[in-house]
Amino acid sequence: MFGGMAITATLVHAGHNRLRYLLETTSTGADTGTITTIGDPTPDILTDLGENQGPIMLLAKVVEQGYGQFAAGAQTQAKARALWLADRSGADPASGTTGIDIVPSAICRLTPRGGSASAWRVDANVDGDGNPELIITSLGVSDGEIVGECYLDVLVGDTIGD
Amino acid sequence: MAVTALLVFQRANRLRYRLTQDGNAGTTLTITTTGAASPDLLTDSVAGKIRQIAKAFTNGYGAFAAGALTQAKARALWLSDRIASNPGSTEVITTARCEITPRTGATQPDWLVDANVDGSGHPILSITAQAGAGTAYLDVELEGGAIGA
Repeated sequence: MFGGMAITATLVHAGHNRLRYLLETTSTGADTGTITTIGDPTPDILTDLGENQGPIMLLAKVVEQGYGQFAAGAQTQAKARALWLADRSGADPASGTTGIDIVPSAICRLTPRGGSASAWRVDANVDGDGNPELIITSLGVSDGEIVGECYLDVLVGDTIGD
Repeated sequence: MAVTALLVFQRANRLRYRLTQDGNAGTTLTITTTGAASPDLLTDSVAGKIRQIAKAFTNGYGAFAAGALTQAKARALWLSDRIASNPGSTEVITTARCEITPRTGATQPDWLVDANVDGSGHPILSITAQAGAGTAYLDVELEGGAIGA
């Protein structure tokens, strides 16, 4: 959740295979925010998909239903990175880069829009219950700037259409 | 070594590397296309367009004749930047592009990726890391026209 933090995330596009958020920060120092996947109020991937169905929804429901080789239940940071950053280098679930189970995974992309000094980061982790979540970090805007802006795309590349 | 690249995702139309800057001095990394040890786009690619692009020096690729290439051609092939003269943008051909998504690290300036050639004219990707410790993902993927990853 972003409540009480300087970073805000506003859903600006929702499709079956891609969500786009506009991230904004007014902090001059480093700040972080979280996008959840459990059906919480936006920004939450499951909530923000609305009626869109597709691989992103299946990914978001991994704790509840499992996903391919990913068993249902609490996940780990390595699994969250495999699911949401297409980084399968961590131990379990897959071995190496090709993986045993070829299933679509998501990737996250950042496209800065405004604020000359703000730099953005996106990582994946899990909350205390093992639910995957995206961690957004901003390094802050310069003194004198009002806001730093960046688009975050959460998309699945193995798909046809948006 | 200050900057490393680990292949973390490998499909016909997209390769993803995790870039790591360990905080030590020296902030550049070269990804080759000669079949050298990973990270190398020829070694790391599987059958598909990316592999064909990586073999441009050996086999040629569309309007790109085999043999030594130039920085302009390397940028056209790997960054889909066809603004420079020769080969230009008249031939409709699939090229690659690179995207960097930072993951961790608290220093600036941020990561950069460019394309160039080595002394023999083999295209290379030149990565400039952020100044301090941190990680990022580099995607090498096809510019449009591809279905699936």
